[in-house]
Amino acid sequence: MSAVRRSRAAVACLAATAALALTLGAAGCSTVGGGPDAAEGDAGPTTLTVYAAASLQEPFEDLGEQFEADHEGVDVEFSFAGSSTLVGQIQQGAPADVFASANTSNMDKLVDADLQAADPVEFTTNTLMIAVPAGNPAHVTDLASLTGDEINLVVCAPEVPCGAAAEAVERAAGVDFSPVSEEQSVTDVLNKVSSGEADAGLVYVTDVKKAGDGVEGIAFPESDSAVNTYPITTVKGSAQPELGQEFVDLVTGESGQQMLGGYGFGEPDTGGA
Amino acid sequence: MLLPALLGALFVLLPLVAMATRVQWGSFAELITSESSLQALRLSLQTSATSALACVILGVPLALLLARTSFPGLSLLRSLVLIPLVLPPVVGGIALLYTVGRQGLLGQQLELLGIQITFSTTAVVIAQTFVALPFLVISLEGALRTAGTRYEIAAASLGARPSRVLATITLPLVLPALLSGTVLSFARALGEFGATITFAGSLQGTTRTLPLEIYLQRESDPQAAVALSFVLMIVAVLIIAVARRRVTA
Amino acid sequence: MTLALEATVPERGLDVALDVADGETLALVGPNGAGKSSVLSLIAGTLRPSAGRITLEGRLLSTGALLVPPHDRAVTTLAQDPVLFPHLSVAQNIAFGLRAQGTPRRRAREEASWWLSEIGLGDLADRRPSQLSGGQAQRVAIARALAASPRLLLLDEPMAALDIDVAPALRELLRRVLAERTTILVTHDVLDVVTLADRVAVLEGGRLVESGPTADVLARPQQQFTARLAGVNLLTGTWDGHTVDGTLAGMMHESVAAGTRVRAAVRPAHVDLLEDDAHPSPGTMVLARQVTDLEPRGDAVRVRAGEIAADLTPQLVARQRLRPGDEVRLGIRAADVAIYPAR
Repeated sequence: MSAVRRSRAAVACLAATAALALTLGAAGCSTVGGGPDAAEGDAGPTTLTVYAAASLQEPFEDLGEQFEADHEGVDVEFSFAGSSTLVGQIQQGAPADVFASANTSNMDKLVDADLQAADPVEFTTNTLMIAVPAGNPAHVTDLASLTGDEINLVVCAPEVPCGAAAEAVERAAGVDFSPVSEEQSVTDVLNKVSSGEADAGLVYVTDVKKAGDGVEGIAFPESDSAVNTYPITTVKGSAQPELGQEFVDLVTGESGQQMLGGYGFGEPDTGGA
Repeated sequence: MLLPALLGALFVLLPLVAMATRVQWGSFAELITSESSLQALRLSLQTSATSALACVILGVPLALLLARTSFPGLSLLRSLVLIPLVLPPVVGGIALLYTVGRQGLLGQQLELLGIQITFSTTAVVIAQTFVALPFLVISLEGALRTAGTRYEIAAASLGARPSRVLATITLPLVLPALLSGTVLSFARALGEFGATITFAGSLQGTTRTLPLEIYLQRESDPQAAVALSFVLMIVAVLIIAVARRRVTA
Repeated sequence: MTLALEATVPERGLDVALDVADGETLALVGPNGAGKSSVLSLIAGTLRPSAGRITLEGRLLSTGALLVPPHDRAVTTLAQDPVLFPHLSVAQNIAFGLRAQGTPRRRAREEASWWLSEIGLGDLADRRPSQLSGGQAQRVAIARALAASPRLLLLDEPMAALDIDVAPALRELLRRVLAERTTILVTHDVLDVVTLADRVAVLEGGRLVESGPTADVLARPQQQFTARLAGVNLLTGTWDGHTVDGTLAGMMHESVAAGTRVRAAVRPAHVDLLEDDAHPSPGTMVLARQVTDLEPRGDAVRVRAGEIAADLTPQLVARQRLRPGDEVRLGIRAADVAIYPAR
């Protein structure tokens, strides 16, 4: 019976996609397993869906495994993407239980739309670092050595968070960058550095850590002027708010903080800079 | 027959209509005439036109080679030429990076000559040409095969040397296909995103074409992104309309 | 000799030698697959011989090693399809060869318009080829080929694709313009041969089996193919001093030693059917044969019996109720048989 019903649902879903009869975000054709169905049946696992900024992928995947180990019958599923993309999807009705943003402004958008289930908690920070190709061919030492036309500097565009942070440190150091490219994302900046196309780039500490041997990191004091704060919250309309809150607690708790620190993230800095 | 056809048409049209409904018409003019938008539009038109020209210069000889000669490896070459069609553009961008990038195959030599291609407008043109070239080659090669060689043989028999046969017989006979192929490659270049952002970077006025600008505006100003998307769509529709009229006339 | 050709192309089974004199039109005939088209390709430069040499007015065009490209041979081909350039006007088509060879635009245009009036299409200069009838298009193609003033013109069945009612006018045009031009004409039509060709060369199985002045070849055919073209029955045998193989007498105009291989030609119209027990008149030889088939032939019925064809009146065929398989006696008068040595 259920097989028949499912295949019918699949056909209906296909038809809907083909005609684009639903909204443009009509990707939601997966037969949702959680919620009332799962409560009714005894076997099906409960799924906790976490929307998290792309930079959180590694520590959160580790934490997800830990969470699953602690909660039998719970499946943690992640959607990693840019924070603004994720907020947009949640606004369009994407089924997120937890949202972790890479900055406060995107969390503010969620709050403005009144989609938070609890007050957001700031759980970690990230700061900028100069990334250079292995061997540092352009002999970069600090922010001042990034100015001038001879050096191929790549930063994020001011429109995205890492670019805003780069502007902040630029102001704080009193220097004037002339980048050869203002990239869309940290990943794009990092790729240009690791491939040697760029002599230097401004990325987050965690990105340098993640990039491995191809990239070296150079810390600079002005990074204090652009501390990126990561807030997390549960999302309104979640089918399992308690479970979501438990995940938030895991992240903000001791083992969560340790895990984040291992990937280069900083302590939540409630004092500000 | 009719129903799937209607569905097919809807499938293409509905998203366009949906986008039009999201444009904030009140501030439309303001949104699309910002300095960064205008620069992006200008850059897109310039680079796409240059790329289309490059496609003609490189694609015509290539199509002739594919359609009029035979040598071992010809069918392999034909498949290889079409690769940019099926390759994700990002992959194309990476491949170009490994070709003319600083650490790339030709990068060392180029650097010795004092030429840096990455992060320049030239890189945008190269990326666009890379993804657009197959469109011209395919449509031209098909037309050359359809036209056949009998007119060329007749012209040679009247004493016309190969260069003259090419200029006065071969190319005029496939002119409609050449025009439509050029327009197609222009349109493809106009829409190019992945290879450009991977290979050329993104800097206002230098490498940030309209698609890159749209993608970036999405982060900070979604309304501007929608407005610009609409502009790009209108440009695309105009190009296709003009091309079709030209070709059928 | 203007054209001298000697070439072998083993993969096409071709091994041929032929000459064309200055100003001469040579008809190249032969069954399908005999190699006529291959010979034209060799001369046009689209086929390379394995061995041999082709020269035109003393200039070497092809050997096993050398191949002058088609555009540089001063050889123009005209096939049954006119292949007019669809994007050029009629006048531009005709001027094409002249322009290609460097004639200034104005002079090329003048010559094109002269040719247009020569082919009787003076008022169609600005038409596109798609607006012409088949006959008009082929006229333009002829003018275009001749305006290029080739040293040698190759005509590959130029009238095969035309309606039967436009062919005569075109044949007349060709007769007029081909005078004094060196031409090779491939055709299946005896009318083309007799009106246009000075000489005939017969190709069979990739080899030249017979050639000579048109009148000679048609009067004394050596091959079954040529005999069919000439419309005569051809019998081959040994001359015993008075008859061929002791059965067939005829007119012999040269002295030939007994024991020589000879051929005897007789027109089907001169073959009679001897009715029932009728006695043959003096000087008539009788050949007994079995009817193979019958077919209409103008105002007569052609009766084939073995290797002999006889054109009989319908009345006679009706009276005798002739059917395939019937035994018949055929009468041939010695005065109607031409006998000549086999070559």
